[in-house]
Amino acid sequence: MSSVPYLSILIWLPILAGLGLAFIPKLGAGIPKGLASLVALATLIVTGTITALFLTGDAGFSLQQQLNWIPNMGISYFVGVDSMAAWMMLLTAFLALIAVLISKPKERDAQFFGLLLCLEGTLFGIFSSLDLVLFYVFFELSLVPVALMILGWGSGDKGKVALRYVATLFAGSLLMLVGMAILASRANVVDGLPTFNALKLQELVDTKGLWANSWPLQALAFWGFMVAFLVKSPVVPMHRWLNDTYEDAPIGAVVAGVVLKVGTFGMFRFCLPLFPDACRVYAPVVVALGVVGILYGGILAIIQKTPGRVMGFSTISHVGFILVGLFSLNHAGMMGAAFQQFNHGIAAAAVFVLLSFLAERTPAKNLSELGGLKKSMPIFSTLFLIAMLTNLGLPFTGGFIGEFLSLVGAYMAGFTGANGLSVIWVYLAAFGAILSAGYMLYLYQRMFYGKKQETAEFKDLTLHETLIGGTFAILILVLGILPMTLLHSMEPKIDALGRPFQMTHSASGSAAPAGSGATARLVSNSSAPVGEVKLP
Amino acid sequence: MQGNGLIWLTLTLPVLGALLQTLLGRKLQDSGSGKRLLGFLAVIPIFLAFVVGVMIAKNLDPSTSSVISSVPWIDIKGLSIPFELRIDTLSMTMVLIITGIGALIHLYATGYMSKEKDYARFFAYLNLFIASMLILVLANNLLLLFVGWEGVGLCSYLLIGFWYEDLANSKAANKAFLVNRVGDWGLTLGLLLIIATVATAPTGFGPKDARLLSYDNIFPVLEHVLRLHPMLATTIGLLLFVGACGKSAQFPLYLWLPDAMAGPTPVSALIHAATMVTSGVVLLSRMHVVYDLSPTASAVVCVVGAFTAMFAAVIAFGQTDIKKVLAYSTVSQLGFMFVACGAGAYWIAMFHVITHAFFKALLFLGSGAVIHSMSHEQDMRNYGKLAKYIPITFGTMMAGYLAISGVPLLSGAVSKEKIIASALETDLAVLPGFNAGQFAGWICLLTALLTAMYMTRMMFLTFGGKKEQWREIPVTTDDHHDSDHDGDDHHALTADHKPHEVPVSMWSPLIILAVLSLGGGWFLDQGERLKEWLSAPTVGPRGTIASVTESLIPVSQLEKISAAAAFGGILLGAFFYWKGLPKREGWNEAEWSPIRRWIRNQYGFDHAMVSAAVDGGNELAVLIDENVDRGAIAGTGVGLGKLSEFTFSILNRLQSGMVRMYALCMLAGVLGIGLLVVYVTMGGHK
Repeated sequence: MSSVPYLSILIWLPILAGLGLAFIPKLGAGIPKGLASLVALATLIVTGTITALFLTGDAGFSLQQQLNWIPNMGISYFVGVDSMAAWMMLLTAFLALIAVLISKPKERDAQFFGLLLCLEGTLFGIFSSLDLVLFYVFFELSLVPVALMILGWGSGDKGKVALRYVATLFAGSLLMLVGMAILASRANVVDGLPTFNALKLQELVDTKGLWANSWPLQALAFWGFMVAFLVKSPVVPMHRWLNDTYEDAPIGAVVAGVVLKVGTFGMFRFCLPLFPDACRVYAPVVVALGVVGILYGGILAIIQKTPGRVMGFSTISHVGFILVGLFSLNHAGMMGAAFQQFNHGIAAAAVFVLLSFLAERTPAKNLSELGGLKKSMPIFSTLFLIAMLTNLGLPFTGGFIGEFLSLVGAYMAGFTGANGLSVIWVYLAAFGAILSAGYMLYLYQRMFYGKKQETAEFKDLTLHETLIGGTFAILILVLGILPMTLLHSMEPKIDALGRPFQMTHSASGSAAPAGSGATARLVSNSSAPVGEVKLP
Repeated sequence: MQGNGLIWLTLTLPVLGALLQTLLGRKLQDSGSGKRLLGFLAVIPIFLAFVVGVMIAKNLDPSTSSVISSVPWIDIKGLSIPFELRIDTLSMTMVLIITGIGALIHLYATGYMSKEKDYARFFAYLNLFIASMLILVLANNLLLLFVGWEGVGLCSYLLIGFWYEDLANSKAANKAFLVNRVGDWGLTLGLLLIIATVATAPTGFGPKDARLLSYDNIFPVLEHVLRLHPMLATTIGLLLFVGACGKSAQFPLYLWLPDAMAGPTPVSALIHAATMVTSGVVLLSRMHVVYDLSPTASAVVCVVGAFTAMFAAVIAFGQTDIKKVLAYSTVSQLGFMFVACGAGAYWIAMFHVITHAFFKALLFLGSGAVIHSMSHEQDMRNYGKLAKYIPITFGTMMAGYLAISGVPLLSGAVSKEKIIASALETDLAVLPGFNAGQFAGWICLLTALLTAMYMTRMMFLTFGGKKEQWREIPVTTDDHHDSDHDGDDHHALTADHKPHEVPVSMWSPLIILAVLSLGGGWFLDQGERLKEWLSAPTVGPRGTIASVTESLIPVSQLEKISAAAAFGGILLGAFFYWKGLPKREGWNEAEWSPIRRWIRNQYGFDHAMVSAAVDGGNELAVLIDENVDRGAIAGTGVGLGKLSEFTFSILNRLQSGMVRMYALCMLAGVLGIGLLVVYVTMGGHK
């Protein structure tokens, strides 16, 4: 089993197939789409099988494959997958297949589908890289297909959009290089050899005091990684690349669904294990950024004039919840963040997929040109309603579980005073639920309610479209009503990730309670980092 | 599990009904017989659920509660929340109201909606509502309660906006959902605070990991911890009360309920009078342990309830739309229930929930019958002398009217008098220097008088008077939304209109409810039947007990005094309105007294709040958009962008095209790695 390099096949098959499609000059109508769906389906089956391996819950990395690359620098081609990565890869494969199925590029379809497959492959690379340099390469490479898709098939001022996309994300990721350099050089100091192997680095952090007496370096490296990930997430004020990218539905589905999640995924994968002290010290800063994003995105989503832009700001708001949960640094919060990271991929993509069906019927993008769709498109309106409900976090839809657990985590952290967090942030973050109801209902009203001549003749969804939309609706409900499959599968991983942050008192309330008497509950955690790290 | 597993059947039946409507509706609803079948399929599950509920309730020992567990919903380390239901007298009381009244209203709706094209969608929503409401009351943990809580909110949203072609309905629906979300903010935070309190409580108070939020686990823990920390009790109590204010339309979150009347009238009766709006009362009764230990929170509940009761009763005098009168009346009656909650008399609050469900459902359904017979005209200025034409409706509505007005022995009187007595006597809602209970009691007594008055006004304007107003006054049809028909076959009132009595499917529920409104309260009070039935889940620990000075009126005299208030109100109302519509309240609103205009517009409160939220929110958003998003951030963005564009433009001049430019970026990246190599190597020489 392990002798077959499944992960490498997953990464390189779509990339090679994509490049092939893009460069083969002429193919008959429908053939590129057929080929692309076959490849995407194959990857879906493989990722599904891989994810099934993790259903029982396993904290470690499977299917590891390591090849020498630049040995004396400690750089290798090193891939492996854990439960969180498996789920994210499954999501990637699923959304890639959906994107292939719903895309109907007007021209150069071979190139379009080729780029889509390349994007899928680079995303697989990101989720499975266990070497920092390899990760960085895929991280950068993934910009290319999106930028080219915007350039080739986008609308509006696409040159500017593509430029903004590449420039912002590239600038963000440059700082990560600095962080990587610091890590490798510290490894050299404590171990005698530089390494970019993430697992090795983590081991050095845990057992050999990689960060001993080097707090400023840790802080610097932490922020190097964080800036790259925060820009990608995106977080206010580095969010402006996002909204233009969202104007085109099939691209939006993939970008919103998985490309963004690379940001928070990177925090889980690298920031938590490699910079534990910095995570603790800067937790309030990141949580504050998350809360700002929740409110800022929510407020601005209300006044947007196209559904794509509403979803853009909505994404900023939802990502805020992931950050809040993640940097609660306790079990409930991190579970919530991990769940929401997967769930939002489905929730946002559902809306974009449905919007792409609408785009088949009308070129109108502006909400003022829509309205009254409930009458002409009842099936569409029902499916959109379910997608709306998960985006506003109604219980029994996937949107509720992740955000609720994130808030539980943040509240527990604030309540116990862990890492300098405060419940005030939760009081503010909870306003996000009011705002999300506001912008989603207002969006729904402008699309579906009222009476409109122009939309009265629209055909309802075809069977093909209903099946795709219905799949999302079912996933949304399953995630909300039966979340345990996903939660249970990721729990050991999250537990392992959270262990360095559980100190005298468990913020999730599971460990032995502190002291006796109710007053003891206010025992505050020291926010000082452990070990010999010196704070400024 | 002693046959209590049957409760799952109660819960499944309405869900099944909703599924049937969704699956079969499209095929069946176009023909008359198909509609009859759909109607049958909608009523039967609710009725069966009621029968099952009765079977469970009959075998229930009032002193016990049982928990019916099932698979876990959320189950992570430290937080395990299963799907589990709780059967005790409190939850079963609500189940019987929801399914019993629900079945009657479903039956009524089969007639009321018979001309509706979207018949199946209506009943699918209505069945789904019953299911959500059952989850709310049966849940054995607060998170599952929250599921029902949001579920009923969703159904309410969908049904208020049922006639979606009219944008006004959509706005009313949005308002309902959003105002409720404001309440949910408090409920969520209360929930989180409870989780934190329980999770960090000292050991020895039940399992900590498993079923962290289940009532049977949290009650002993909360009782212990909150007794030591009254401030914590007050905070939790107030946060939960914010949620209750949203769902149960208390000041200042009552704003959505009058607008919710945009939904079809059966919806107003079921959701916005009998069941959903009492969720807040159910929540407080369920969590009474928190309030029992916090006089402050209880006092706030009392005062807000009393204030809302009076505030809304006065507004009712300014309304001319029959459903709006009933809507404000509902807000006001809900205020009464909260006064009882604040006074610590939860069983009395539940008593009023029951009797109110009887008479307010009756009044709403009656008003629906009136509207039905008057070509969907809702303005009472178009009515008058209707008793002559629709005697059954008139007779049954009289029963509801007398009950809500507080005529002795009728159901409204029994529970209302107990509320006032409990408030006057309470030793819970008492703060140092301020007896909130007595204050609320006096306000309630005064409001009882006002209630009888405005209800008399409504009845006289509708059924009494000398003139048949619709024959003389040109109808303005711009502000009524209750258009059962799709716009085109809507027919307006004309001078030769003849109001017609409603069909049997509509008047038979009216008769049953009339009987319940007349005798139900008396029956439940016999031998303290209800008090004993409800005592186990609603009587709990008490914290400090305040010493209270006797109220001015001895409570033993209260029976006579509230009867006097009821008859006084009726007489005063009759005095002003026995001739029918007075000229000073006619169509020309310029002739209205300024005070009446002011109260008609809710003292300007709704306008102020809505414009503050909508316009203010919009302005804030635009401000941020212009100055921050496209200002400062774009500014920096532009600054950085300019820099990068400048860099890129140089590169572009050398080599055009995105791909090559990107390749250069990659090159820069590789260079970066090269630098890094150097850095690392140098680091090695440390």
